[in-house]
Amino acid sequence: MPHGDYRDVVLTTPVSIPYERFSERSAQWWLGCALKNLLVDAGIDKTDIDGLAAASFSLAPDPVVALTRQFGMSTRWLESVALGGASGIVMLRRAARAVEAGDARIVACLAGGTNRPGLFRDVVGQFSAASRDAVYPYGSGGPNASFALITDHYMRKYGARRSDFGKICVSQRDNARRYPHALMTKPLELDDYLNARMIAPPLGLYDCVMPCAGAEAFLVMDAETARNAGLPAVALVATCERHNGFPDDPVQDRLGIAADADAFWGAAGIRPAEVDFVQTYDDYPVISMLQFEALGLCGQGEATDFVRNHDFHIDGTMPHNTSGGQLSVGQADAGGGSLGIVEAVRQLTGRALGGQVRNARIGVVSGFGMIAYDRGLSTAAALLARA
Amino acid sequence: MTGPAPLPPVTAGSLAFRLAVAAIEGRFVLQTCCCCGHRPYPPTEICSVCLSGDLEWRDLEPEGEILAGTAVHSPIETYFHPYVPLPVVLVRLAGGGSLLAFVAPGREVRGRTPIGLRLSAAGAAVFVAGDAHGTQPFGGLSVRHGSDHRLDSPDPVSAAERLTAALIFHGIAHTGRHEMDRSFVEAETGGRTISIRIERTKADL
Ligand SMILES: [Zn+2]
Repeated sequence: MPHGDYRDVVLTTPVSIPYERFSERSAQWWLGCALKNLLVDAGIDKTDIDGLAAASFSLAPDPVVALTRQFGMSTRWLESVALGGASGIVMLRRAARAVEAGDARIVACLAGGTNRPGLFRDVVGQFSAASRDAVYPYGSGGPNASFALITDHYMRKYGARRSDFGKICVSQRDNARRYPHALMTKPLELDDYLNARMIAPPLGLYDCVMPCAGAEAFLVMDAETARNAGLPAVALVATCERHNGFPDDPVQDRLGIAADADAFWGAAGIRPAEVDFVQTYDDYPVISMLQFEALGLCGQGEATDFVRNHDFHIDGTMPHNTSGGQLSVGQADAGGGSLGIVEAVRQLTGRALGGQVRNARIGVVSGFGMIAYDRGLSTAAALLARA
Repeated sequence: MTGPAPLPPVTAGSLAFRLAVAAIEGRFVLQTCCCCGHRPYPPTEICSVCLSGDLEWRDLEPEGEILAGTAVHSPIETYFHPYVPLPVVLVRLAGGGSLLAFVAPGREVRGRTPIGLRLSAAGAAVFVAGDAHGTQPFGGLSVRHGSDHRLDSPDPVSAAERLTAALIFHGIAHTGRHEMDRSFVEAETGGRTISIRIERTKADL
């Protein structure tokens, strides 16, 4: 096992509340269900949890601290992480240091929220002042338009083709068909992908995540606490986090993770190619490709070849988004930022709900979020290993 | 279609409002930092290079290079639905900085391009690539240029015009938020009174 950056911090108790396209329930309900499942699955009491971290776009008008009253908890540590697709890994980082420092013994990390017709429009319309003033007036294409530009630029610069993005989407759909909670389970062929209706060229229907309601959750504690509770655990090895990385790039074609990748792998003492799987934040396939590059799985601008040379299925050469990713499972509010973490914990404890990566010992998870104007601001990565 | 077309419900910030005024005046402006010369965009109150809070709206060369392009086929706002697909490009300005822009009809979506600042029919300041000074409608949206409107009107702005101006500036369809009085308009335009006459064209409805 790699030596790592953390002293015996582990993740346990992966929880997913099955997603729904739309829900009349509140974000509080979805996160409350996730907490309840954490307690039941871990066999612990609410009072055992002394730290709470949460990420959601749909709690408003409530702040995260209001959850403590609603859930009847009295915690001595609280973290509200409003970083969308990076929130899961950032919650994990914050929780890990709190556990190391003794500020909290067991931290519950909750992510997700609800989705009502019209809610997505409200969130997009007011996502940031920059988006409101400088993106929304141009046809209110929302994130689809912004990511279409990033995708088009990547194709122009590096020669990627739509079929390369399609390969990612198709293999994720195959993986999702083995995962019980995926919302999209219809078989997807490359021709279906290529012939789908256009949303914002070069992005078609299958390039875009579907917003939905749902929640993901996990616990962070030290290895001894997990052992005493009899919980299967996964070790936290290394992490990184970067906001507004490479701000001078005219179009986003490098993610901030790249600035920290050397230190990240150095702390772990392994090379990127040694991982048994990768879970990326796949709000759009080009963003997964940028994560392959930033993580060092391939060089800058080389993700097209990486995609062509690898098989991303559960039993492939580089298993990727093994539960189907958001593109097939759905984007449950900020829960998308924890989907990969929860799946990685299941894979590394040999408890996959869908396809199991054979003999998975170490996996990398990355996150990306908070599109503001023309680029996503937050990126993060975590390396997890079988404990 | 009967009744007025829906307008985008999002209220622009006061900085974007300043861009709308420039569009009416027929100018192509962006903020420039008075201390270091940086040109931030989208509009901001703090320079992202030197953190100066002293930013000034300056006219600049209406030219740039198209880095990427798309077309919005599925707008979130129903207002835009009659006009799809809406061609949109990312333009790198000659002096640095990049901005989103609509594309004038029949224009290339790559290479060097002139660029103009207009008021869209929805009431928002928008950049238009491929057409620095034209007034032609594009993408189904009729975009008004400064010369379409009366500037320096000697008459007090009528209540009706004020309401219309508020609607067009802020792009909101409901009447609860049109408290934009004449002094505000004057303050925003260096003492000049702007009145807006809206003529809804077929393209708008
Ligand atoms: Zn400055």
